[in-house]
Order: sequence, then C-alpha cells, then structure tokens
Amino acid sequence: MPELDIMIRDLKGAPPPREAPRLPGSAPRLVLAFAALALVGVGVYAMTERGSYSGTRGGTGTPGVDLRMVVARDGRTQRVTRGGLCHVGESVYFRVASHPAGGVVLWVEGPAGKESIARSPASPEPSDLETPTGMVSYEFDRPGAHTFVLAPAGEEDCGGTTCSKLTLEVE
Amino acid sequence: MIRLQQGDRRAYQALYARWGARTMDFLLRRTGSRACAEDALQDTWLRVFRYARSYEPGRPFAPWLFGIAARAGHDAREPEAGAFSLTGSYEADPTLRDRVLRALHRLDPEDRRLLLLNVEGFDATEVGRMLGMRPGTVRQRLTRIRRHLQGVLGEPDA
Repeated sequence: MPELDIMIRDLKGAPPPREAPRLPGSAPRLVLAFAALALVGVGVYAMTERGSYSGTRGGTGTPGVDLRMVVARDGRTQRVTRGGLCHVGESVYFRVASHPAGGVVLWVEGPAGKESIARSPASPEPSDLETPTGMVSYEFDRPGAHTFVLAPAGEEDCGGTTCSKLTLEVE
Repeated sequence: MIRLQQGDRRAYQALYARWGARTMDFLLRRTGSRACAEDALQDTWLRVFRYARSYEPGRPFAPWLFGIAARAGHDAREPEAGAFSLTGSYEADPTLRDRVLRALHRLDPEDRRLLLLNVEGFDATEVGRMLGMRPGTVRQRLTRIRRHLQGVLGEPDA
C-alpha cells in the first residue's frame, strides 16, 4: 500500500472553473440590473424552495433579511430549521442574506435574555456570517427556547416584517 | 497579492490562475463532494478579495490562503467517491480510493483539516497558526490521526 500522505495527495478531481469566482460589482450594469430583478424574484423563490431560510423576505422594495443556520454535531454540520432541537454544548453557525445589500444585526433571545451576536454587511447572495477573524458561531450553554433574530441594521425593533427569526429548542 | 491590495482586479484572476487548482484539490479532499468543494472554493476566493487588506505583505501567501480555505463552506455529509479520479495510487486498486476517502471522512472535521493542511506541506507551527492551536498540540494530534488512519486502512474491511 502506498504511503498515507501520497494516497491523500492522489485524491484529486476535475480541475476547478477556469474563471475565478465573480467579484462583487464586477458585472456590467445591465447584468447587475437583471441580477437585482432576478434576486427579487427567482432568488427569493429558490431560497424558499430550499426551505432553509426563515423569516420574511424583501421583494416589493421593502428591505428583507434571511437567516439560515447549521449546527456542528457528531463531527458534521447539519442544517437546523424552525423548531429544531439542539443540545447544550453544541454550536450553531449562520448564513445570512439581505435584500437589498446592507448591514444586518443578529442577536438571540434565550433563557439568559437578549444577547447580541454580530453586526455585519450582507448581500442578496447568502454568505457565512463572519468577521475578519473567522466564522461567527454561538454555543448553547443552557437549555430552553432560543430565538435567533436577524434584522436590517437600524431596524432592530423589527417594525413591519423586516426581520428573520428562527427558534430552536435546546435541551 | 500587493497588487490586489491596491485594488487591481486583474491580480485577483492571476492569483486564482496560479492557486485555484491547488485550492480546489484541497477543498475536494476536505469537503468530500464536488458541489461542496465548488461552494467552498467560491467562499474562499471571495474572502481572499474581501480580506485582502488583512494579508501582511512579506509573509508567505499559501498559509494565509489555506487558512481561509480550511474554514470556508461546509463538508459533505457523505463523501462522493465519483468526484475523485482513479489515478496515481488508485490505478492498481480502485477500491483503495474509496477506503481512503471513507477513512478520511470518518475523522473529526477538525482532525481532517489538520491532517490535510499538513499533507499540503504546512508544518505544525503553520497549521497551528491557521487553526488556533499550539504547535505541540498539532504534532500530537497529527501523530494520533496518522496512526489511526494507518490502522484503519490496514484492516481488510476498512
């Protein structure tokens, strides 16, 4: 049997796309305009179809934000949805989107009261919630219902239907 | 990288042309699936652009890049053997690929990252810096992981 490191190095697949991932703002204006329309319609529809987002989405000119969460469990990450069950000691990670792009604020309302988790820019394309030092996570340290709330920056009162909420039970 | 820090978008494409394939191979091994690896590749390179200013000129680029790649995206629930070619070590024994892949993906994800970064050529100090661990801890875990994998792969039904 070949040496372990050599076997691992030999685990290769097809080459990656030739073009680097497209940078924000690098598309022509017409394409951007089309993309914006598509995000309002098809993009939001697609996220709804996947069933992985919670809360209200923008689509009529009203700002909207989307929150998706995964939990690190048994050495893997699993998506968690509204009403999902987690355990003390587990950590959850976040993917967020904002329609249109803008700042978002994330906090949790749980047995310990309201705790701020992060402030971050967000784009219409869902992306990991992170800071320059890495991905943002939240570790459960007590049982009970935890409601994670994502709001557009400046609208933390969740007036109207702009926030995205996801409640998990922790035991 | 310095050109990218100065806002030259062509430098981004040039960096990708040079490092994209190596990043992809790493991410494919790490995530275990083509779709997850492509997602992680996109995350990685967008972070390279977004956090270009956090790169310190004069320091090696590879540890900075792979530190980002080690955290980007999510791993697949189950590895997809078909995403990996049957070349090199696997030409003579195609089942070996599946066994190595399965053993690799039964590891704790952090252990897998640690091992793959080391196999990529980063020493314990560099891996520790990327993953926030002390070099001694990295060395101990690498020894344990390699011993475990060699044991598992030595078993007939691994």
